[in-house]
Amino acid sequence: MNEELENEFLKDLFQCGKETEVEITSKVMQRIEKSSELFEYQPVISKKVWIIMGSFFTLTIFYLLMQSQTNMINYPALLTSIGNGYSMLKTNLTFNWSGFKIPAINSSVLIAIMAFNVIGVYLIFSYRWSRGIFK
Amino acid sequence: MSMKTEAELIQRILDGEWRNFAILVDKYEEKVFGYVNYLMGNKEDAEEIVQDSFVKAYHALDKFRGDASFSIWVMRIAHYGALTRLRLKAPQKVSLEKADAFYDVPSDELDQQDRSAILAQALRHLKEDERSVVTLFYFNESSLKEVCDVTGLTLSNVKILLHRSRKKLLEILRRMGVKESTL
Repeated sequence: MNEELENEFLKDLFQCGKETEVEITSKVMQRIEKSSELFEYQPVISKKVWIIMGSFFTLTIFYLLMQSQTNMINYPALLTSIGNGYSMLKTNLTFNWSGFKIPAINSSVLIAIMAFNVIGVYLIFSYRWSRGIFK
Repeated sequence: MSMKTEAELIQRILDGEWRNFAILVDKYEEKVFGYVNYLMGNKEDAEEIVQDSFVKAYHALDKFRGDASFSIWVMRIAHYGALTRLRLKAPQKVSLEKADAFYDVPSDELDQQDRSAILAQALRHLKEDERSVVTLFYFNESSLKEVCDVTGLTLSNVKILLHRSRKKLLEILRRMGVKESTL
């Protein structure tokens, strides 16, 4: 028997062993799903973002403390107008419910809180976007 | 599925569409299972190894460089998984004399199940590397280069092994009483 015929014979013989009832996909996907639940915890805010937010907040507070000691805070026009807007809002709104009032917030603190919120929200969204959560 | 489409699919899986991994498993499960089943000679072990291989492939998907096809990559994972399992098990050999009585008929008259059982029994008489080379070549219809990629053997080694194991396998089949009209 020549090599070609041997090859044909063996090929035919091997093809008889083809399993048509293999059900592996569902089991593999179940295992992947389980392992993802157990090990692939994805926090909404990553460690890196927390560090950036923490550093920014600390720097802002540090900067404001330093500036308040010298009493020479020169805010950009936009921030000053936001601060004034809040003061006007507080004056115009006579919100008083069961003893609760809009608190008097120092402009510096108000600006720091706003900046913290804006940057925090931006970082959360950019992180989620990069992980494909919104895709 | 072309390699480009496969690469795009893998990128989508890495981007978070993990359920698409089922497409890859579905496409290659039969091929990988057939190979491991012949290598192990045991359906339950083969199924476990194939599942493990696909799960491992999924978790290492970011390391897949795409210089070979996904099927070769997952076959390689399955190949090493099967070898590890085989080395843990004591070798089991079947007596050829016992088999003679059952299979002394022309191979054309055997049904698919019988032929498959005979082959599985004959393969047990081959060494691990011989078994993997003939299975890849005849069952998976892999090229010699693909056999090298999966087994990690050199081309000359694969050629020698293939020649030797073909002769050996045909001789075992003859001794088992398989009378192929062309044999």
